[in-house]
Amino acid sequence: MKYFVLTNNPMVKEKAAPGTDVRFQKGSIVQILEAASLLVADGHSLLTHPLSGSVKPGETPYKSMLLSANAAQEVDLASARLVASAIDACTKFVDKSHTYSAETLADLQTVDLALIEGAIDSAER
Amino acid sequence: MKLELGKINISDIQFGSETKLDGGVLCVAADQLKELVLEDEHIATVEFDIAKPGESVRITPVKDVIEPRVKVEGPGGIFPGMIASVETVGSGRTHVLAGMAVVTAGPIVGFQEGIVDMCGPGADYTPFSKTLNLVMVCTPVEGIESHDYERAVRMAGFKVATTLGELGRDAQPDEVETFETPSIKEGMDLYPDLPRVGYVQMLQSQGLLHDTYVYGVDAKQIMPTFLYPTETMDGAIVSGNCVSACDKNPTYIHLNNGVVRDLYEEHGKTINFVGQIITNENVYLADKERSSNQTAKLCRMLDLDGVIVSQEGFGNPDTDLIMNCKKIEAEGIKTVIITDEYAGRDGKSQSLADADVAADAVVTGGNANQVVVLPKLDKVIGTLDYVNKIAGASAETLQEDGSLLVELQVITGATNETGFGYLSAR
Repeated sequence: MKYFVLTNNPMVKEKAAPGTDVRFQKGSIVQILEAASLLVADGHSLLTHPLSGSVKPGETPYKSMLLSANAAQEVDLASARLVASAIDACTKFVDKSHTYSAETLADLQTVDLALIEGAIDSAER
Repeated sequence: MKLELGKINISDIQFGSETKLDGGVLCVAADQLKELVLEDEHIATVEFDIAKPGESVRITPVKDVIEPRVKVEGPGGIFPGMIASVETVGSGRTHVLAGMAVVTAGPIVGFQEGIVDMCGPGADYTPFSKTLNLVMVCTPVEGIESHDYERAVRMAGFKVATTLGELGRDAQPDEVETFETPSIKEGMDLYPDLPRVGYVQMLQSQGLLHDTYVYGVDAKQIMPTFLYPTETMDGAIVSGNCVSACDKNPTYIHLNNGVVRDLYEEHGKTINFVGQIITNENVYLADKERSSNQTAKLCRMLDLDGVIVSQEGFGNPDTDLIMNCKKIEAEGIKTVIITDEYAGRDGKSQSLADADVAADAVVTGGNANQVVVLPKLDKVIGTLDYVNKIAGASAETLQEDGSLLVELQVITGATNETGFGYLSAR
């Protein structure tokens, strides 16, 4: 499956394998999910779960997702539903990511990177 | 497959000059265990401490909780593929140091979670306030990668628990329980009129700090498979899951899975407990489809009439839970799913990130967003340095009087999704 990575995690941009299509954009998790929602409306499908990771929204400011490189004519309704409920779920958590040290942010980036690398392994198989 | 579980009731833990079991009293030579832990070059220091039920003690951040066990008769050893060889376990006889636990604690990354209070309101929410706890607080060597350190702490816990379990090898158990699962054909012949019930256990498998191991295999790489439930009592499944304290399954819970125990309780009376299917909770959506397809297929192959599905974690696994439920129900098999809820602090929000009409029988472990105040306790084992950063905490968590204003999420085991907890509507 051809894919690209949508992320707000600078470590993913920096450490992704050469040739990986990484679309980095600054912003919150909700902003990344909203960007994913627009891509789904354009016909891309989600290849990873938008609530990946048990580090909760608000606890981590980072989110990386895989989406299909190809845009279909029709909207993938399952993807649309998943991303909508993920945006809804984010509102239940208190955002405290602004209180973190650089070291903690680096740890959170590392976990997000590890999860998306696992997904890329699956996509490459 | 038949397993006898001999329980040696531990009445106290004390530090001493020799590690030994004296009646029900466990004596621990901390220096001896330190040597064992520091064999691993990734661990710089380890301190042992003891926390007893009712004491004014808070343990945090808690990583894993492990019950010491030893294989006395039958093939293999405890924690196959991690400590023992990969021989199939679950038969013969196993001795348990019951009423105690080894608790691994200490920072692994800069955001941490997992609180166990030994007294006060927090103690009412965690099953591990009722165990005598030997706590090991580790610190890493400088410059280590977090995944290397997580593995080191995880293995250190298993090594210490196995060393202590060995003390029970020749002890006389206070109680012996027997668990037996017949072969498929024998079960059909024995219980022709009883409904055939299976247990689908979903294992956390999203990646770094979110892992579970089955006979040493990373669960994200497994296809759903079928186990004799007694295999889990010998440590076939272990936790490498450091996040979502309230609804993760520490190794102790894998060894003492409440769903397994309750299904055995009814086995041969009201149901025929056919066995346990394990599946994973990956991040990649095609992995979810494959695993839920195979899980439903196994349920059909086993001719099950009913299935209990337990989840581990929140969010991403909600989708696996609903996929499993829908697909098993589509095979004509009744399901009951066990989850927990993130329904907001007021309890009014949508509880799960996914849903389906097929999920018409749901058991909840509680609302992880529920707010509780944990009063200041006299002693902290570990550190409170991370307490504002843990899931369910906020900048206001640490109050002026030293109490903690937190959500249930922070408490280890509070909303456990195998029923290993105390929240109830009863």
